Amino acid sequence: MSSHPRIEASRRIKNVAGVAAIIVLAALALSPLFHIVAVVVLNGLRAIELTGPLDFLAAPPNPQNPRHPGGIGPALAGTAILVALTSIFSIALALPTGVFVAEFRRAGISRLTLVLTLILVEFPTVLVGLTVYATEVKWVQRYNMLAGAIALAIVVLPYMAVHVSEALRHVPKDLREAAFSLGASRLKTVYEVVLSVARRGILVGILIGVAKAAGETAPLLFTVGGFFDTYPSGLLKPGGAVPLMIYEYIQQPGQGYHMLAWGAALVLMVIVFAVMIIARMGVKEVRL
Amino acid sequence: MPLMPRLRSRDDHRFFALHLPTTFIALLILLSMLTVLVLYSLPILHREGLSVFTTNVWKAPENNPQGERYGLAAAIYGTLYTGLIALMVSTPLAVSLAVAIEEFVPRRLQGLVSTLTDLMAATPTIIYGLWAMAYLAPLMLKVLSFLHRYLGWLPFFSQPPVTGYTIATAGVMLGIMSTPYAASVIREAYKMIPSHLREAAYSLGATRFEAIRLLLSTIKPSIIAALALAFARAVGETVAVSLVIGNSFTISPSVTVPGYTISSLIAAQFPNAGFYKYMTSALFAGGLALFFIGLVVNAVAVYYMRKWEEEIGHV
Repeated sequence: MSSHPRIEASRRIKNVAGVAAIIVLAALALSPLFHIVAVVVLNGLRAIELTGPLDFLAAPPNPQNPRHPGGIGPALAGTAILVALTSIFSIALALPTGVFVAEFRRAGISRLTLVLTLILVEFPTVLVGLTVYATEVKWVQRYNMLAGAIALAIVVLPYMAVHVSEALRHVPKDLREAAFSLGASRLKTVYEVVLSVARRGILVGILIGVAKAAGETAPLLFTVGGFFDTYPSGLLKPGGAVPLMIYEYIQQPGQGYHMLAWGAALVLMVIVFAVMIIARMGVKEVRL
Repeated sequence: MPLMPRLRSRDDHRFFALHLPTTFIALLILLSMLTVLVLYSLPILHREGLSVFTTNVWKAPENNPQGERYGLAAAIYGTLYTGLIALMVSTPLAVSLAVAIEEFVPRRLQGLVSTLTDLMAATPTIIYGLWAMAYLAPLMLKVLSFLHRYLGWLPFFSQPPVTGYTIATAGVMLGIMSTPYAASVIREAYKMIPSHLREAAYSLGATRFEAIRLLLSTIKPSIIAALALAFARAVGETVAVSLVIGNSFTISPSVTVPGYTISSLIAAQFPNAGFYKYMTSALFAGGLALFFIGLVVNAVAVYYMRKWEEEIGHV
């Protein structure tokens, strides 16, 4: 008798076919990414070449003239302002939320907080835009950048909170006990010792949130107003953002608009990928 | 499980009291969304009753509020239909991608492939929309014309496609878009399957494929959770869908015709809604329907996520 168990032909064929199907489907799943990157780079470079890379990032758009399409300066400045404000709002709220969930893991009240936060993670973002429109924008009586930042912060907050609580989960117990034994208060222990031990994980969560804030469009539809020609002049004044500019411009007739949309998509993709890759590199270095 | 934690000292009490308000952040967000959506939906609900959700009309005559009639049935139908197509596309892709990274990708390349998966998941949806509008839609027109010619007797392909902007295009794009995210959720669970299960399968003489199927059956709750999250993503997506779905109030079993989803309807009609008396309210009523769809789908995802965490705790 052979030492290997005999496998009937039908099972062997099924095995080969099944494994092949998994590999082919997995390759198929990732293949759109390569095509997307390729066409965004190819189409995006056309506008960037015509305007020049630095001018493209700083100059206002000039979509009526396809030979000198201008740049995305005002929208990029808008995105920078929105991302900065969103980060401040969402970090300020996500940090204590994540701490609360992680510190009282066994209590019903923090479980409830976690469940509600998880429900918000994939909640339709267009509803956030509508809600901020009906409250903040109605109150200020015009579209404004602050409204966009509030909407983005609501979208990003649950992501960050879940990441913070996950990062805190892996901090060894003895570190906090050491801090307690030195007479530190719980507040000091958690925010100075535990948080600094978990800082890489927290930073990764924050960076993923930043990447999301930079790329979201729907929360901005009814909040910031969508002005791409002039730099935003104040937080309570209307403005634009890169994703919103892509959405508006690609729907306009005219080659200049489309070139600018693709160029803006390339810039947005580079920003988001750069943030994500920095975050990935952070993950690898987690060692205690 | 007790509702309140055991607090041993005054220091603990102070810490707890300082953090308690965070409980209300998520609750406040959900409740304020619901309140706003209900309040703004009241005028249309008052005027048309619940039929605003069940009829398919969109009459918006200018300067004639009496003649306005709105019904969201086509948008609700389109939301669920595109979500379903997205699931049919993303389920085999996401499960295969998760399994392939863990089982077949050489260790040296694992980091690279999972980074690519993360990048694909993080790619802004507007970029997917731009790509789908320029490249996927023309391809889908060819594919759908082919399917209509040879499988036109099936209700799903019964209508001849006129453009590439169809229900099917939106569904396929949403499926592609939500695959990497679903894959990373499934992979997280697959990684945590205890190795003795795998060893047991092989020791009984299982082939590789049989072992994989067995292992996948042990993480069923997490696969369901991943698919629910993918569905939630598809249902909530706004701008990318509005670029490719063709924007038309059609209810048809055929995937080859243009349609609407609730989100894309809101995105497309909201800018002009202010010119009419009831249209804004009708769009908020759509938002209300979307709120409940999103709530149910996300609750299902959280429920199965918890279930899996409990199961993994017992293994």
